[in-house]
Amino acid sequence: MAILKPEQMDFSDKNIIMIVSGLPGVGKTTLALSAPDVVLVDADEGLARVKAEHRKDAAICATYEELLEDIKQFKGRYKTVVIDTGGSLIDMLKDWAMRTDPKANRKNGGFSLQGFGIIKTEFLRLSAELRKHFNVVFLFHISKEKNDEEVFYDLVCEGSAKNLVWQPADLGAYMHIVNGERYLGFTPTANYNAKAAYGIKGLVRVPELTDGQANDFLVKLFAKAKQALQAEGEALKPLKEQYEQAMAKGREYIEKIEKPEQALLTLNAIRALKHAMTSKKELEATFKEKVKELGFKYDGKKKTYIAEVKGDEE
Amino acid sequence: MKNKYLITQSLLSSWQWSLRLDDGYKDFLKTLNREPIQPTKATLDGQQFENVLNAVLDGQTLENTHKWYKPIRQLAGELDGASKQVRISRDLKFGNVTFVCYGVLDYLKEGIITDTKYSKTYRVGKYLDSPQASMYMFLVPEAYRFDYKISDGEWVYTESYTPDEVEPIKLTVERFIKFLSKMRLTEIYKEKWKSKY
Repeated sequence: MAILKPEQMDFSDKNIIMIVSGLPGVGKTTLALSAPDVVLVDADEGLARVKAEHRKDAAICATYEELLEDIKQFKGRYKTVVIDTGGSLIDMLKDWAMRTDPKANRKNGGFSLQGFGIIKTEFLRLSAELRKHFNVVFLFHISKEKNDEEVFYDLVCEGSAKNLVWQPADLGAYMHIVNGERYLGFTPTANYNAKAAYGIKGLVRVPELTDGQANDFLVKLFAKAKQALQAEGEALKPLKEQYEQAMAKGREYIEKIEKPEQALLTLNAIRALKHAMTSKKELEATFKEKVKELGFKYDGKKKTYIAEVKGDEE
Repeated sequence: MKNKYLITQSLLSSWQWSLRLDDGYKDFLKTLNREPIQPTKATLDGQQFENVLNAVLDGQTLENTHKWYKPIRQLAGELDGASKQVRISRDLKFGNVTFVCYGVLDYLKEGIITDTKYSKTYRVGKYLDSPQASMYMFLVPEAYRFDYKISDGEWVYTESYTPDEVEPIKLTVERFIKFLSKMRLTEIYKEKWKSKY
């Protein structure tokens, strides 16, 4: 296993996993087809609703095993896999689990709780495997739910899997129409869930495609996200280095405390270090823990740490 | 006498829930009066989950037969080396009144504040309106992210917030003060939440 320092990490080739949710017909599939070198796994017959000029290669699979076979064929040929829809994929996984794992079946014939565990594990494995080779866009229909006083547009996806599908996603957007214009909402609100990252946040307008115009919205968005990720990594690099130096030095100081009179000197030395990110607060917390462990307490009158005498708080 | 009053995310959360739940106001009055509240099973489970996680972070071995083995192992890997139970306060001023914002961070590591939750009924976005992320990022302005790590006992879900994604705590506190005044609760607050510092 190779251990990389932050400065050695390169995110320029990182693949992106994105969730796009929205009502049927809002334009999710057309949007997904704007991703780089895309192939659509069409479990929802969504391609039929896409204008002919924007259609791309598609795979139609009836079972999860067929999907896995298709994915093998995608390698080297495509850069993005669109799963249309994520809810259908979960249904496919459910069918697969019931056929292949007895634990997924309840005695009365229903789907077991363990079965959901099997689905979740496989979903995460598949997402991680796909990410190694492709960007992934999971499309989800939404259902209107009442949440307190607000209307909440939730992913159409069976059981608690709807929480888990967000885990591998870098970005998540709710696609909707405002005053006749399409928007992607990347910041979660009381009405829908979303996931902002790499500088992609808030509402992003999706321009209307005119005849003959290239459908490349996600090509540009992914490029922007990767650029921001790279820039973010570079901006954090010196801070992380500084943080690690301060933490190492501070821990070394704290480790050496043996006597009460060393405590204040150590605290001052910690505070004098060149700090970055949360190193100062973390080291102060470690210091407090250490003096407590050693039985020292701060004496406000003497303005120094003293050894606590047992029972002196009485 | 200095006009300094303590304010915590639990107090603000309790107030926010009072506006949503039927019996929330009753619970909020208990919190405001600093009356002990009987912990629910969910609260106790949460404390137990955190205790197990902290024990593992302190080097204790967890048997792979333990009911929480999978999520604890994952979280222990992510939080290895983090500072635990970090107590922090920071003043927030409104005219001549100072509110001492106070919080105990579950974990602090490399610019990220992490709060663990144990919830059997988790749904994505559950903590979106919680004042906790906003309060804690005010307490640690050097932090660039706040992560909720929520476990249902088997899986770990993450909700991340950055400072620009949450309402500044000052606005929340401002609304809270107006609410207290409207409900004629200001005097109770001043009496029960006076800061010692």
